[in-house]
Amino acid sequence: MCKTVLAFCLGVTVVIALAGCGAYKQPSGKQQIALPTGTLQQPVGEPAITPTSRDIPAFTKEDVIKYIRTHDMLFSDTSPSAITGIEVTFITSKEVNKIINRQGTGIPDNYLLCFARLTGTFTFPGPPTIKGQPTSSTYEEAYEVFDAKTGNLLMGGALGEAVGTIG
Amino acid sequence: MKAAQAAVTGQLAHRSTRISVALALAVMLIIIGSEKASGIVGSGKAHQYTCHTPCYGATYWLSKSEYFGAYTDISIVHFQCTSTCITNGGFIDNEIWLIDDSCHPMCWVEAGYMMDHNSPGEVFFWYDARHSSGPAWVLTGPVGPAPPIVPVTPTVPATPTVFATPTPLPPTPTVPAGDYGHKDHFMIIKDTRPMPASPALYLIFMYNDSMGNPLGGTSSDNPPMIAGRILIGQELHGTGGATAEPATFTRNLFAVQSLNAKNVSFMYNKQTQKGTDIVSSNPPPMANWDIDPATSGNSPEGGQFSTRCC
Repeated sequence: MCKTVLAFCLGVTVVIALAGCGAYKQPSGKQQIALPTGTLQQPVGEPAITPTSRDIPAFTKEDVIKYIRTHDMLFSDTSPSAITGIEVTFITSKEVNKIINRQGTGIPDNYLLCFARLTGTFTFPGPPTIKGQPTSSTYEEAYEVFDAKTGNLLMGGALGEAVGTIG
Repeated sequence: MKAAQAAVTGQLAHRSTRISVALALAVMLIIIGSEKASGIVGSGKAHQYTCHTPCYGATYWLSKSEYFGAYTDISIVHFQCTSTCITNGGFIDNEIWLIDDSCHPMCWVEAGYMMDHNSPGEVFFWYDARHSSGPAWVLTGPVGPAPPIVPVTPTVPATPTVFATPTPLPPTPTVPAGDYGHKDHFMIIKDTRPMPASPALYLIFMYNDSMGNPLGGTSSDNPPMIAGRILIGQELHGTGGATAEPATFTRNLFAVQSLNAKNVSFMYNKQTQKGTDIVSSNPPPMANWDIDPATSGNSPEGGQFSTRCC
């Protein structure tokens, strides 16, 4: 009798234990990827203006204007004919960031850049809508930034609010 | 006599047949050769397209709440566009977008690699668009060791001294040779750590398996973004001259929480369904699902999507 009761109790205990284990909720299944370590590399851009000097800046404002007048703006539907004004200055990365309202470009604050402010009509396409329709925004001011030492094209974009949108 | 005439006639007919066949083959070869030279093969216009507004071979997913980040592994392949893209503004790229469709007209962050008419090779880039800050793109460079760049102290611009023979600069590095054929990692993740009370910004990382110094940057935080869509695929702009080897997009993941005081990693779930495809009505570029995320399990996570052009 005692053995029977003991066996029954043991069995119940095992059943309860198993039921408890079954009720245990597995972790939510979220996995994780470690962020890359190391220092963010400084952008080097792509060749644009050929340096003509060993000084820094290694080219002139006229070189910049000539380049902009003969090359379509990257990532935009803007041809040089749409540009009505070009103003070129050699300023630091920190000063550029303040103008374009960006902080994390990866270029040290004291690095000398060539900032070209453009006026005209600049259209920047965007990704298609959910329905697959094209999108774009139009601005009256844009910019391109070059490395003052290498002449490489580093950055570009628009300034201010869009004056027109599609999509 | 008649037999001799018949024999000669037969020989002539046989010879004429051979000549006719040879001529026909020659004509066919000339036609095929000229078609290839003009870029038109068969009935498809392989190297000409109408993408004044960009054309896409892409797919997207929508979230019911928020995507805190997006991730994909993109194989690095060769493009052709440098000096062959017909319009100066032509370009082609493979990339990932994280989009807020509620931010009028649209706010987004994107990362990928591209080639335009003037590129020396494939170039990594990222792009951040906010309607009040304006769009902004950055051409970064290679995933892997870059040549040392020595920060210079800003000086008053000097009068340039023109040398007769400027010293040639080292070529601008683009995608390291070792990356071709391999998958590089593209990650966009929301970060609320810097100033918890301020709008969050997004970190962009592009890196390879060495986990060395990555490429990337930090987005604007104005206006704030609440991303509800992830888009992956190929973008093509211009009217002709671009090509792209087949590329794959695997490990298609989304972040389930932002970086914060308690989380400093990309916490994710994988996509478990095919996205909604966006393919131009008149391809290129071409795109398709190779492996359905619904059945791929972890091989690979989030399935495999592929693009190619043209």
